Amino acid sequence: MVDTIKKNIKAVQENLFSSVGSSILTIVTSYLVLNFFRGMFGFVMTSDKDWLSVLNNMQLYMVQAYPEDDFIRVWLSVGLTFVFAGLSIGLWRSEDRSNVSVMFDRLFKAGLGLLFFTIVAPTYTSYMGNDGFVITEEVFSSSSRLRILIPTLVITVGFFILKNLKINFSYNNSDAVFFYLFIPVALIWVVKLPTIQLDQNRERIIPDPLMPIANSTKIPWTIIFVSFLVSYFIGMYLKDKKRVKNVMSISWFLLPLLIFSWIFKKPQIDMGEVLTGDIPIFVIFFALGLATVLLINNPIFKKYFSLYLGVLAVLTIGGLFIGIPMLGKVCLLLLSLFTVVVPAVSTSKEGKRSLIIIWFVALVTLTFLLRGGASETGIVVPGSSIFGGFSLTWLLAIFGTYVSFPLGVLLALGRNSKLPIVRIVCTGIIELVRSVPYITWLFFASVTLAVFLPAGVEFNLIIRVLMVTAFFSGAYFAENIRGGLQSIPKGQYEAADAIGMSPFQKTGLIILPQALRAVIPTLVSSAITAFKDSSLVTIIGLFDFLTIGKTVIDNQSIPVNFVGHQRENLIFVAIVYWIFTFTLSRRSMKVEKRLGLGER
Amino acid sequence: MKNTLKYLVFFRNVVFLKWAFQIVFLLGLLSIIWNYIQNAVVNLENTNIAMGWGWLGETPGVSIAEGLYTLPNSGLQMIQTGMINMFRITITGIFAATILGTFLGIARLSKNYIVEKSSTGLLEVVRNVPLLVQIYFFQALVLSFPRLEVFDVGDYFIHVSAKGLAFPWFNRGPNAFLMMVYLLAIFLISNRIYKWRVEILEREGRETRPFLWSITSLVTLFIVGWYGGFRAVGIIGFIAGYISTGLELVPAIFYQALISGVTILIGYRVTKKFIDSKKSEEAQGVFIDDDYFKIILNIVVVLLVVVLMFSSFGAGLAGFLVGDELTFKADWGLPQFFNGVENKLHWYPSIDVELEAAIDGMKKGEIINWLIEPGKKVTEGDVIATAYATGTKIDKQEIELKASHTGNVESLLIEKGKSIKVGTPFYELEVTDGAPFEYSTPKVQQIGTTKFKEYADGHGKSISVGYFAIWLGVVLYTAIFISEVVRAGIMAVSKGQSEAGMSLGLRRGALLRLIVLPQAIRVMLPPMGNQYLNLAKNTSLGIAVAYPEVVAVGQTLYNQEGQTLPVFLIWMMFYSSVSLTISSIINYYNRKMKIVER
Repeated sequence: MVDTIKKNIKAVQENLFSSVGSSILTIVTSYLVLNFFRGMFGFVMTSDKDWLSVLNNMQLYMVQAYPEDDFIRVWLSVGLTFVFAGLSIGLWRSEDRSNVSVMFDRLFKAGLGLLFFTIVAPTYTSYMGNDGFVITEEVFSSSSRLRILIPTLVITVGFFILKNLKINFSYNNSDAVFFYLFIPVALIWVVKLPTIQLDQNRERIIPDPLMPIANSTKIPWTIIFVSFLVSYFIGMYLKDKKRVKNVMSISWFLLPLLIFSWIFKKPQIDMGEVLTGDIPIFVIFFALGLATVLLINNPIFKKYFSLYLGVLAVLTIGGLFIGIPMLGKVCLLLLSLFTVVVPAVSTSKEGKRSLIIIWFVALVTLTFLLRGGASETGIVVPGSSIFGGFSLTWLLAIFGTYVSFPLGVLLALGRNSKLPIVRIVCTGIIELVRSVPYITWLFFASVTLAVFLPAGVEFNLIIRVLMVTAFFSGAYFAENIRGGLQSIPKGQYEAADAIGMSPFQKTGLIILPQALRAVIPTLVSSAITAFKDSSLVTIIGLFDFLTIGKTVIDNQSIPVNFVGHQRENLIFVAIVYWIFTFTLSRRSMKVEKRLGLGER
Repeated sequence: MKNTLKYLVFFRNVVFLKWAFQIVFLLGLLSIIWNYIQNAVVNLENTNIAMGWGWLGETPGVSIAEGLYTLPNSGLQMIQTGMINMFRITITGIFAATILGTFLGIARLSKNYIVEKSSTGLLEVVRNVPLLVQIYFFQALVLSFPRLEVFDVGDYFIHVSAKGLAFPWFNRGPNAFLMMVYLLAIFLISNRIYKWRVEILEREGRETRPFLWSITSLVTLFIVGWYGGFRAVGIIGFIAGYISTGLELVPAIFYQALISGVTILIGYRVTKKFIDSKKSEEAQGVFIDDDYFKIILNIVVVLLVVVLMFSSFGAGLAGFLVGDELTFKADWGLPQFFNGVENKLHWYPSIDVELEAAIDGMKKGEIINWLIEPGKKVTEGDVIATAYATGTKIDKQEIELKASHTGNVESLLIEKGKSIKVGTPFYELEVTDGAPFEYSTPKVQQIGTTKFKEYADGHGKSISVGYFAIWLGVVLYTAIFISEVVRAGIMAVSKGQSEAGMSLGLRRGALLRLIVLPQAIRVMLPPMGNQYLNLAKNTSLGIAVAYPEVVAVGQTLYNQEGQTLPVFLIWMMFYSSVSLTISSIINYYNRKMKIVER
């Protein structure tokens, strides 16, 4: 025991008071940190802050004015994401195990921290009232301090004992995820939160009564938790099937598309259009793909294969400018891409069969998603868009990445190309777009873009924002990808030439996979930046997550007056953004470590 | 080989295919752009808003909350105000963010547990929250302070209210610009002296005390400057006067010819250098298609510039430089240097003295009698004229106007019996006395007879809520990213370097200064430049907190005039040139710092 204390004292001395300068720094920094904590604590606890303005508006924050009758669709979207998460965690279940005493050690330290901060928390805090006079009030009475201190002390001592028992029990890290999710879901059933109640005169009853969280969130979350658990076990069961993993990766990409085009949107399908438009196009393109795969070994077809590819490419580019249905345009693009890879893959019977299956599934998914995306929505909301609050932020972030990534790849390839004109044009686009701040591009989308469109063509502001985001984030993506392209050794290009690959095959099968793998961390940080930048749309008047917190709630006076509670809401918005970006950046660090990219 | 090439069918020829594809690509792109431009032309015709630049010279009829011209006379002045507001944040922000970021970066590498953890905590918080949310939060924080009330009127040391922040400051007097240039000059001189002494030290190997020399010269020159020596800088005004007169005498066509000539010269030299490089032993004088393209491109660009220079665009540009069109002429707020058109030696700055409200609520003044005349000396506080004040409760109250500075009267700008608004210049004064910078504390005062209060001009420094929010937000955000750059830069210097330094017997400070930092800076410079670019671009978020920088001002303008496209083009040119300037400065230092390899 004495040894342990001596060791700790020595460690403290080495870490904090190794020299006079270090001691001064320690004291100054501790003073600053303590004061910052005390200030923040007082700021949060004073009675002029109304945290119910955050709690009470959670629905507004998440989906803005989405009608309550259709809420099942929101829950379905959330649930589907959790099911996918469960499946993925099960499929990629890690074998890393953690010892339980390590966790106890961590909890013990957390308990110590909590104890420390409970002790140093201020009892009284002063703030400036609206009339300019300083008000001092009790924010943390000694009784409530004791009420927190005693249980924390007991728990901390308990963890200390548990830690020193050295229990030799370990658990799987992936299994722990479901435990982490279990705690909040269980808390929803137990914890009561203050809720706003109005009396007959529509005046607020103060103090607000404590109420359990409404069933509207309790039951859905429980169902989601159960299905998460079930999908986790299914995932574990299917762990060894490699094909399932591949399907899962693609499904993650398609999930947002499905949510935004079908589940969230509630499309009104016109069966006439499906019968006259979608199905014939589907049949034609499926037949074309099928014929390509079946005929690929035919000598006559082989002779004219490059001509066929050329015709397809011309049709694809030409198709963009003539009035064929959207589905036709996308199918043409897909068919050209498909035809490029066909000769390389369909060498065996097995390969041909899987190609046909992939082609069929891809076409079905495409037709299905596009039909949903192109149809009118059945949701009636006040305002121009059914997306608002957090759903709009996600829409901008995910679709911003979806549209900008391919463009970024194209621009990067163009800038790296050996063709001077293409290189100059791509460099010009990238540099021009990057030299101007995002907000000016958003203004371009909101006011100037309409000038350039043909008369009668009008897009929703969200679509226009996505159009400029494609170029803006695309230019940044392009610069990142260019770094990856430049890191590919010349031998790779020469090797691909040596085995007779066409330029398309060389780029698609040899260069890009390696280049993209090398820049995954920078791409993730660019995506994080895009997510943060999506908050800028609040300036051009879209109702995203930040707008709700900053403007909408601050101007709310019916039924409850929340005017003047901007700071609380901004802190909440900051915390939510922080959670997402922090988690993403930590995940990308882990991926970086696993790929061993940092060590090069 | 040559023979087979001869018989190659043209559509199998790689070179032909390459260029055919590129030409088709270019034509396609141009046709798409042409298509959109046609759309724009048709749409603009339909909306009856003809795109034009005339609004740059017209009075916009709106006011700006803060900046050089709060009541701009023309669209151009308005945009200038926005640009200068943007530079205010960018330049001060770059310095502040670099200093703060360097400290944070070193703190992140500290062996001290608390220092390291708290700086890491700050990093994780600031980096992961959108900048806009932070800016809004800072704004909300200041706005939550009470408004200025009647009982607030008075003098303070520091004051915070919903109007902004005010604190003591060294305010610029009429001599400030001269003093600033003088300070810059003596810094450069002492720097040269340091380098000169170091050179002698390295050549002759004797102790030359470079630091002592440079600091002594700096202090001496500073003392000389403080007691009036800075006026020597006035010679710049003298030279500038001649230059500006000379430039205005030259006809516009000269500028068109000059720019074309310079372009041709540069084009010729670049092309010649390229051809010479191809003639080296390595390349053996073989020109492939790409090389021909490069040469042709150079020629086309040069020709394009020449044609453009002699078109209406070039004439307009030359007109702008000569200053034929008065509305386009701007003095950029540096009158001391650029107003010396009369070619007189300016040892003292001359200023246009504006009419100040001598009593509360005064709107206009009518001079009854001038008590001064050109060439006469006045001291601060002397009565210079008697006048009627209008706009107060008593109509045509007789008041005395007092001199604001000590100096020689140069000319009277209005005759007696004429009425002018408060804020208009009414006489010209050559200021002979007064410190370049004056210390003062903030003061809250009533705005005229209204019930609103404000921080008085010239008393301490007051900054608006928008300025505070955007400045703090941008600086903190950039500092955090710079701290990462600094940390990476210091970590990139291998441990062997500091060990080698220590084994030579260098002390810790000298080790950092001479061994570690020069190598770290080399790694840090390019990403640092990127952060500066981001800072410059992020200042555009000022629009969110009503800070009138160039985007906010542009938005006000197009809301007034309906000219969205020209405003967007101005934004684009402005930000592109700022980006180019910053990146070329960084590139210059980057080249300078580069290791000279064998």
